[in-house]
Amino acid sequence: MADHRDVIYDTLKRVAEDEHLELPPLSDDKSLVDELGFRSLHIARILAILEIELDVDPFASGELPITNVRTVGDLCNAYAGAG
Amino acid sequence: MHFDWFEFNVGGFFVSFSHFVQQWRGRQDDLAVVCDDKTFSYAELAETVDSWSAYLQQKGLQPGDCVAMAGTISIDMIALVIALVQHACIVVPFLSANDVDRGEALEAACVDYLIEFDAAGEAQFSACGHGRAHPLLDQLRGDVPEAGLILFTSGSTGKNKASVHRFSRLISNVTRKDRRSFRALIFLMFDHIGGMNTLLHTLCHGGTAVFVPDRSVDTVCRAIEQHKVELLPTTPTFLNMVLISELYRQYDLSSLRMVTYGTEPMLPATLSALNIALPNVRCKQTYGLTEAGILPTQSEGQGSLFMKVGGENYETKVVDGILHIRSDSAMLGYLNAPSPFCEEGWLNTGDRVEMRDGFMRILGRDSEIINVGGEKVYPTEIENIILGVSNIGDVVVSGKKSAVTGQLVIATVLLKSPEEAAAVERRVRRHCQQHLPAFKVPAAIKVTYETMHSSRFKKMRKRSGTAAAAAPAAEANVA
Repeated sequence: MADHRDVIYDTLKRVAEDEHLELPPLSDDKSLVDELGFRSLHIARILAILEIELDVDPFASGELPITNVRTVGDLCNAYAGAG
Repeated sequence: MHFDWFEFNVGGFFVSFSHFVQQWRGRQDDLAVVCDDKTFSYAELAETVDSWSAYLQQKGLQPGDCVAMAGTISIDMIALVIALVQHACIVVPFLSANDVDRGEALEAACVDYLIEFDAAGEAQFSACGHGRAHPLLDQLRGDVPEAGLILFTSGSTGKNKASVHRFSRLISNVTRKDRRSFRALIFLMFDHIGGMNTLLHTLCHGGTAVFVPDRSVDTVCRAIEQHKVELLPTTPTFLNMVLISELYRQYDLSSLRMVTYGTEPMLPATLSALNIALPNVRCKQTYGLTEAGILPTQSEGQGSLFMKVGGENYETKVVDGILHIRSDSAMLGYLNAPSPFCEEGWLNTGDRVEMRDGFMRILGRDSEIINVGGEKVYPTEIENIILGVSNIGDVVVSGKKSAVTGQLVIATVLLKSPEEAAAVERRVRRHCQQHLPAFKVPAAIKVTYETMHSSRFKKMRKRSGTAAAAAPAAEANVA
């Protein structure tokens, strides 16, 4: 779980940096879109990188809808559940 | 005895093909085939055809029999094809480099007999037991039986489709085209429509067919130098490998007059680099499909990817940006799949084209288009941009399933020299961001050291995590 969270936090920072987004301090309750400023392409890329890094895509089966993921904590829980 | 038989089947074709073989008998000094670095004159080829004709007689093969042949390319395999055509058999060639599941294919093609060449070149004859009637084969086995050809083409479901052709139409297609004879390298084998077309064109016009044991850049360049090859029909992917390797600098390729390329869209960056590397070589795009045959093309210019496609016996039209073809050289149909032709005989090629002043440019297969949040992305456009990044030797762009945007663009790159993957990703993405809108920028860059092309030197754009796209009507453009 801790490993997943580290990878997810690093990935959010990496994508934000690539996309020139200024992130506030990250925490599980921060909303991905409203507070962190990620757009659809950014989130799609975050998931693609996480799939490579963690070797799992919790949304592939369709059982877990991406629309349920609104915060950083939701994202961490999705990967923790898939792991 | 059998000659009496096929003389009877005149109709123009058997006489004309026999006419070619008859003419070859007197040509002891003209080179027909180079294979395994051995040379064979037309007279020797005719003699070998005769001995295979006798073999078929001895085995009791009848017109209309479906005969598969398998093995590594040799003068015997070439002569056997000709002998089988003379006997009005239906030929099912399997060359060692093809990717077809042979057991499945023999059954799908209703094969009666298999002639397999072992490593020593010895022929083994066996009955397969798959022979049966089929409406398409029965068209060939009519009152006046005629030779056929069955080629396999990959389907969108992964199942190979067996396409049935009238041999007479393949022959008439090459004899009514450009009559110049070339010393041509046979890049694609004759279990591919492009390879068969090149072989027939070469032999029917008195040229020399140069076969190579493998399609590595080194082997091909060496053969060009050694056998003074004038025509190289190939694929853009192979040409890219030639340019990456720079092996063209190590060999004397001055005999080369023309390079033709097909099977997949050419990237402008590759064409420009090719024109610089081989300035005295004419580059010509070809267009064809297993299902429709090889179409005449006319390039807009040496450095242009726009061309006119079609001509005598070929009609073309563009419907909703997709090229459709109607031709009397088209296959009869698939043995194991529904007909891809509409009632009026048109074939939806599945190739999206861009039109300009009567010329068209092939953008890519409609099924390969990546849909990112409703925006269409053509892999070749992105590949062309990425090839402009330093240290990138080759690239394949494909779509990856995304829960957010439907699909995402992914690029897999082959490096010229080792480099840290993260650094490659940063450089490639930065370059793409400068030249492309955000939805076209690859979300991830994978570095590979494995080949990214099929055995026929065609890019493999496997879509990770996606179901097969809607079935395209046809497999590929061919040289």
